[in-house]
Amino acid sequence: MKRLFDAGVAPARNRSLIGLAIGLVILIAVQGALGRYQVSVLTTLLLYVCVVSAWNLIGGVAGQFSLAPSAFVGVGSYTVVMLLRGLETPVWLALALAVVAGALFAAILGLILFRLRGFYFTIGTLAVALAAMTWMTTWEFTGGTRGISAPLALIPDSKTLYLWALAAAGIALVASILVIHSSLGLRLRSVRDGEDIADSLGISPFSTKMVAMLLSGALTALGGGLFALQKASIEPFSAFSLDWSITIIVMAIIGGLGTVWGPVIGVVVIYYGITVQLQSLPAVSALLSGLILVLVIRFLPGGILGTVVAGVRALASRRTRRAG
Amino acid sequence: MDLGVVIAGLLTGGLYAIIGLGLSLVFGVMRLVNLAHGELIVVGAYAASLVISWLGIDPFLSLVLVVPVLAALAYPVQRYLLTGLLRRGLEPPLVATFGLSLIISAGLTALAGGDPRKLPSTYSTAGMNLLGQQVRVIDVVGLAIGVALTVIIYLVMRHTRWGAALRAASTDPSTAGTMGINVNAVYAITFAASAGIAAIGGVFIGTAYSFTPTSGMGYILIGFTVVVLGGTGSAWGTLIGGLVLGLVQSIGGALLGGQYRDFVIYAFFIIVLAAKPIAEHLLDRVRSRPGAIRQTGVRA
Repeated sequence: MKRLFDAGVAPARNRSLIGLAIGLVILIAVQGALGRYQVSVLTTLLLYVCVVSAWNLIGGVAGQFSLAPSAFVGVGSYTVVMLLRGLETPVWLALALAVVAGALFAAILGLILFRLRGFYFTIGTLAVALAAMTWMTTWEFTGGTRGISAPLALIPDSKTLYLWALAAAGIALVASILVIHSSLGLRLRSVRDGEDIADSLGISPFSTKMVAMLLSGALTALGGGLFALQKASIEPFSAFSLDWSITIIVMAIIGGLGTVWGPVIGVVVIYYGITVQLQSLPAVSALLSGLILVLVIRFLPGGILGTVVAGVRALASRRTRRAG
Repeated sequence: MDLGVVIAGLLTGGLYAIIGLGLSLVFGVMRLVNLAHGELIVVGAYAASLVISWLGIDPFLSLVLVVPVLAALAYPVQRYLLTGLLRRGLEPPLVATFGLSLIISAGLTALAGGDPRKLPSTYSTAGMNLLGQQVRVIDVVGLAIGVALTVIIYLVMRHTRWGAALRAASTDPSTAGTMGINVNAVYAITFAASAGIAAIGGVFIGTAYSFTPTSGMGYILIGFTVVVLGGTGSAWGTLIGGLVLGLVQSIGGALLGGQYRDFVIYAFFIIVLAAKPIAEHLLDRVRSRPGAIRQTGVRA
């Protein structure tokens, strides 16, 4: 019991892992009771949890504000669809190779861009995202602007896809729990808060950021591959669309950067609370997301989760002070 | 390489300089990376299109209305939203301008629809002869606007009290504050001026090309390429950066094929960014100074 309820890193990690396990079991258990539409909404929601948690590792924990998640979603999408179409590989193999492709792309991106700091890094990732999209529109091997579609026979049905999405979200959350409650997480945060100081204390900013980038890229590509299976056919302007980056970043910031559960809260608020409810009015839902983003950054610097945690802590400390 | 490619590149470079000037001003004065600058350009184009459909005037005449209105709308955004966030570090203002860009592009889509538009004018397709090459009049106008804005910004920065206050607030905001300079007002006016410049760019783009609510993101990258190439906060540097980028795109497009025109810009930018730390390091070595004292303030 001590390992669970004490203060400190290991008990916090154990609590999060148990919470995640309970959540996953519930989501598997309710699967039979869900209708077709609910399954598809939940699948999308879980995939967003996967990619937003993945961005949170590089953008939140490591503090490298990357605008390139759209490129990783695209890399994952195209890897999976090309493999299913060209080699007719099993779905699990295509997804595994998408993860590898995402990590490779992350390695290249990191090698070029980690020399840059702050906004230069951000703008560099924007250039990579746009370059990847325009490149795909001209590359005939992947079908150019027309795009490609996966053979329908090889695409898993919606229930199987739901389980895949559940697995992807689970993997991403386990990865962020393990990273955030570990010495790697501490090193990442020290690089985020003061790169030069971290460097002087013997932490290599480059390799620390690279680990976060590789993890983030691999997981985002996994999510992207599953998004592609959900859509069945992809083209550059949707698979590599900057909208991915925008949505992912908005969700992560609104929920609470650098935390395990912040991204989940952000996904539920933005995707379920706004996008699904305003399905017929995509422009209005984008407008609302932007407004919420500006309000959150102005008034709730820690996102929803950060603010709630700070509020609870303030109340608790007031009670102990009064009691003492 | 024939002369036509070079001239076309320089003419497009004028437009790129206009896009870069507003960004460079805001970045140089208050270290604000305005991710909504592309959307400000697009708003300028839509506002002009609204004014033209009301009054039926020439696109460039509509600037008389569009520039002040956009500047007046931008002023409170900086004063009451962004300036406060600047003091909290790098990321909050970045996120806020990111949110603004989302609000603007989504708002424009909701109000005006996603179809491409163009500002009506009689001269947008007219041609003329420049150094033996057939070019569009409107592109020459674009280059002229770019050069004129550069000269105006240079003169204002160098030779007016306003420019002096601006440079002081940029170099050391707290000392400038003790000298009776209202730094918050200077910041807000700088942002408003940048929005005004964006509106001029928007009207030009709307007349010469076409625009949609989401075309802003492409312009922002062009703008940042120009700023990084030209050095931050220097008007002449920005103009030269714009012209160089125009040339690179035009020559790259001529060598590789037209469909690679945009890709050339992005790839070039990534190369410039990757080379920048190395180049700065070499420059520091040559001048034998430690990197820490490198000048980053605004130069006129």
